[in-house]
Amino acid sequence: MRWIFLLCLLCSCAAPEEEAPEMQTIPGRDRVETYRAKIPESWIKSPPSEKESLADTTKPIYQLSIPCKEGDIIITVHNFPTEKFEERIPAEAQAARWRSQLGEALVTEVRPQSFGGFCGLRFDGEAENLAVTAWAMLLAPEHYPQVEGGRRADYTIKAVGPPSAMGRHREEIAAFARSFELIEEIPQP
Amino acid sequence: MKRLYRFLGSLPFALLLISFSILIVILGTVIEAKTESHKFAASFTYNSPAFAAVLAGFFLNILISALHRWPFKKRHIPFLATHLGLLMIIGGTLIKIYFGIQGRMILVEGSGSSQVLIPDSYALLIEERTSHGIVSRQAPIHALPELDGIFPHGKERYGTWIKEGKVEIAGLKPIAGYGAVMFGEEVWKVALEKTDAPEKLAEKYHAEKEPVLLITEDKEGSATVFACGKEEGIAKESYPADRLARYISYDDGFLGYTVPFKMRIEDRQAALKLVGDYLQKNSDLSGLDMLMEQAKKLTSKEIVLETALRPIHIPEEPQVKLEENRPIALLTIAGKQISLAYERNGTGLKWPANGGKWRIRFQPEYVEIPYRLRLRDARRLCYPGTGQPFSYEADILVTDLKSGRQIEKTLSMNHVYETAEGYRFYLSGIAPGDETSIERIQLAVNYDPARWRLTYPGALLAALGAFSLFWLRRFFS
Repeated sequence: MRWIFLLCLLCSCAAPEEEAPEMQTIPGRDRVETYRAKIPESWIKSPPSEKESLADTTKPIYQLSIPCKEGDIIITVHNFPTEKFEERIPAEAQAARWRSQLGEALVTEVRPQSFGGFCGLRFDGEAENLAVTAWAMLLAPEHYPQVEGGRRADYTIKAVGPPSAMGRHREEIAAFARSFELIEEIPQP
Repeated sequence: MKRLYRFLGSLPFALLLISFSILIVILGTVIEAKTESHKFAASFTYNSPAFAAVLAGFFLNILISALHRWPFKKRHIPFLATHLGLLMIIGGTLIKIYFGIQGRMILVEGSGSSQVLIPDSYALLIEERTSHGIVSRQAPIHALPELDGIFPHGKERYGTWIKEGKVEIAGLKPIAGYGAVMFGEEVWKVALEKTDAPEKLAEKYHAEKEPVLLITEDKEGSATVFACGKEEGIAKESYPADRLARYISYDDGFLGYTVPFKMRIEDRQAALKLVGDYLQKNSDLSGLDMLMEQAKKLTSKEIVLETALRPIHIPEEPQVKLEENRPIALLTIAGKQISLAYERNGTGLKWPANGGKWRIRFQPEYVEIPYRLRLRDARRLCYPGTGQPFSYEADILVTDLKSGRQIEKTLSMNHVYETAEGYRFYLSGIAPGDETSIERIQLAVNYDPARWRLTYPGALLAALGAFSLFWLRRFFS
């Protein structure tokens, strides 16, 4: 009897499989559902208005905010569709722009990043009253010929907020950014 | 016959089989130590017909020794349980060998696959354009009527600007040695030189102040192209023979590949227009020559030369370490002979064939599994404050193709993911390991259809039988 009990116990020890948590879709500049990411429930989503044209790449394709007592953290997602490989904006140029926006930055750090078929860099910067964590991601050169249309766009994710709030939510923001991907799988190069 | 039957189920035969097994294992160990090649050792031992015969011998010996106890009584139960368990283990092993899957899957971040490559198998992947898109199929290479032969080992080189001793530029006639070409309205000399010091030679040509397109080739067959124009500076690009640099594909590779070279040439018309516009505002004609030279510099335009990229395969002596051999297949397709080097990981370029109707690659056979894996993120985990890795991880999305159910999993070293059906995925490699470019992982994929049905129950039964035989004998007597 003891052996049967032991066997039952051993067989029941398998960890339950985790269903993939729901990803939220994010449309591209052409309003077609192009991306998806894990967005925490507590974040406030602000998709662009249907009446607004998104042709201007200075306009974000999606905006989120994290309410905080010292001031909200604003997260904006931009993408930059291109027809040719040479037209793409280098990730370093985006980082340089963010650095100049911070003004007298106390700390800045740039790290290479690669996930979801995109590679680029992560920028972390902090000034006296403002902190920025941002990603500039370009579709990997190996994938560029395989992908067409709006899916070919490079993207940026930028989170701006008070330094203390950013410090508390930085990991959550990083988890959101690293979950960001194209809905459709990219064909193997 | 009766004597043979008794011998097959006897203890001396069992001891003989055990002795053979030990000899085979020793031989395999010694060969592998000497040659550093597991594959070479296995071909003489574990993968040999002799070892299969030993396994078959064990099966017969265990079965017949059990049948010797007929008619069975209660006291035989532990003995029979042990033997049945052993037979189930051997049966499970044979089913795994012939019906299981042991292979690998290569995934690139952002992409997915449901194909497992079977190592040491040889197939031709053929892709064809149809009205439904590009359709892939594979055929075992040895069964192909188009196969002329296979060299067991060779090396692959990439032929670019110099083919059969002549400079080949797309759209122009091949040039042997020296020639001249018009680019726009400018005449350029073209020179082909064999040298291991191409930069020095380029400077010598540049000093002549005449436009020269210099193509050099070194001992290894690597090419370097220099455009020594009248301007300062020399445009240069290298084309190593042993690896692919940039290339352009035509019609997704169905029409082949080229390599580009960018250079600047004069645009005389634009220069004349610029000078004309200037002279309309300033009528001073002194220094007109210098003005024209400046105008040419300001209005020079960029052109891109291309040449076909061709694989060159050179057979070599096979290596003793079989894992390092790279077979070369020779095929004749639609009247044209083509050689292909084995792409062990199923990556690498697919080459055009059959007049541009096909794209083909010589690679391992693949099997489709009922799961699709998509690689989201692969990363290296380092000790804090150092670049020393202590682990590798990969976030994958697993889709059960039968039910459509999706599961997120994080694989890491020594952390295997096993599906309910018994498919096991093990992270066995990651490259490049930093995040400077997209990551690629290699998964070892294992499927044993008999694991839960035969092998593990057999092991349990054998263990219970052995335990009962020694400690519960009184209960069964």
